[in-house]
Amino acid sequence: MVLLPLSLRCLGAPRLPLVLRPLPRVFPTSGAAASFTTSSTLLANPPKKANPQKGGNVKNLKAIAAKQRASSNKFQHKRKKRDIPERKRQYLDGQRKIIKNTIVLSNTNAPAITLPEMAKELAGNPETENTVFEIPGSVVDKLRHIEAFKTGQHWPYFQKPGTLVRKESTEIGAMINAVNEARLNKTELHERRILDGVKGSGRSILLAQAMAWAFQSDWVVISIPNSLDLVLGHTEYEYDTHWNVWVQKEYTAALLQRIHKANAPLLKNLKSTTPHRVGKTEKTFQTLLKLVDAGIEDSTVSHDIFMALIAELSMTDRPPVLFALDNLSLISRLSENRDTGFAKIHAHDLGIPNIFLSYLNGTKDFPRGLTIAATAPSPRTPDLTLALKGEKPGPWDKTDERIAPSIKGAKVVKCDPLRKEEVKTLMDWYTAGGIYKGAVTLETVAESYALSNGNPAELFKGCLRLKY
Amino acid sequence: MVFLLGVSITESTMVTKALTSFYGIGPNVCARLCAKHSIHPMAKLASLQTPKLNELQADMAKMTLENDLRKELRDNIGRLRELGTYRGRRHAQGLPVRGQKTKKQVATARRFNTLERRG
Repeated sequence: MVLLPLSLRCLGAPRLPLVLRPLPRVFPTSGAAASFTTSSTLLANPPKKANPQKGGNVKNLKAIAAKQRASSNKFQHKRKKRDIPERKRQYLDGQRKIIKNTIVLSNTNAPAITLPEMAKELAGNPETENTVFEIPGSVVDKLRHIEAFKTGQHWPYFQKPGTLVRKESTEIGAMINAVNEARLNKTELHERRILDGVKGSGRSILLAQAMAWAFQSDWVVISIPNSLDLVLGHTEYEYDTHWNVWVQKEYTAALLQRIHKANAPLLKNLKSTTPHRVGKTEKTFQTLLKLVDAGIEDSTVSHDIFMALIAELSMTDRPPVLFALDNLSLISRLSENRDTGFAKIHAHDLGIPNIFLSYLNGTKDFPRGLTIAATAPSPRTPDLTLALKGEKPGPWDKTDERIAPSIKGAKVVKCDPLRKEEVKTLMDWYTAGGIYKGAVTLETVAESYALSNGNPAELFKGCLRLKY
Repeated sequence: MVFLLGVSITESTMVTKALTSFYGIGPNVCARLCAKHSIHPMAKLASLQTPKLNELQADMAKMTLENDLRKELRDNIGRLRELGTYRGRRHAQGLPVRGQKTKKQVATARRFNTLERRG
């Protein structure tokens, strides 16, 4: 009996524990149903049903739509456009090239050094060897116009451009003196030289020194600062049937421009009476400056004008001429220009190298003058190396037979490494100029001499590096 | 503006760039064409004198270029196809023509070989 109530309870409805018992579900009435989203627009009371008979509700609907549109527009207005900063061009067209090629000849921050001037009277004087001279101010601008200064040289580090006179300098100076004497004695003398030295050995500086003395002695200076421009195939070229060479008229016009800038006062006083071929006509110019100007104004006749100028300067009563070219090795091989049959044009068939080499090998002569070329051992073809040594190629060697005759008779001036005394002189100059901060002692001179191997460019780099 | 084959090209364009923009003139033909007229590789159209430009235009007019060249190519392939040759069929099928394998590297063939090749 005791079990009876339990068993009866089992028969009853099952009782779930409290936790599992489902919560009473309260279904709210449809009018009070909460929206799924919390968006204010949707939470708003639903708009009243449109009753077209009354008309007011339609208006209301339109108003709501307009409001919504306005609010959406407002939202769009709030979005600010990202400010894209206008990109400024760092450099204009061609600006970098100008910066790269700008020659800086003065540094106002560098201490002033008093140096003797490189006067024309000192040219060829052996006593001036191993001395640093200042290039006279009257010549600096002319040298700049003729592009005697190159980038990468020591000029931007000193207040005024200075240069060391070496044994090779006096050798060239002596030649200039000899030509000046010939001018006074009204005899003829045309010297021909080739400066040969490794990279940084001072060939271009020697050319600049020669030009500086030549300008002071009232010579006409014609300089081709880098023959690479002629053979790289980046200048206008065309075949000239009159001169039988490939002429580069744009380059020649630029060359005439440089000649004008550097030699204007001298050319202005040189009268001309000979008619010259200019294009298809013959013309006579009053002065050589007017002749040069004609070539600058009209580049199509620039080569004719250049040849006329050279012919005029080759006359007996003309002042001495310095005809200089840097990088002879580059015009002693094939150029990158192509002829009409797609073969590479030999650099000797290009107008300006052709005329330069004819003066270098003595085919043509100035009555008084100096034709001088500079060359490095690299890049250089074996033909030129052998020709400079005066040796003949082997019987089985493939040779360019035009190279040896092109420099025949021109004497080679070797640009030797600096001597220890010259290293000391240069280091003293660098110290005075604030380039070298150490003490100039026997040890430091010996060290710099050993490290640079007597190469002036390397010596300068080494002294400059020790500063920092 | 300079006109080459009826196409106007800005004067600041390099000659090599302008020439190679035409179907049928690649770097090699362009170099030979420039050499023939003594135009250096860095020259711009603006630097060409009128006689030189006229000569260049005349030379280009003589050459088979653009649509004429495309048509020639299509005709050549069409001839192979009409003859029922293996090469003609392969062109039409978009498959390699010269014995290349077709398991993987047939991208070029798929790209170019169609019934009517574009060029």
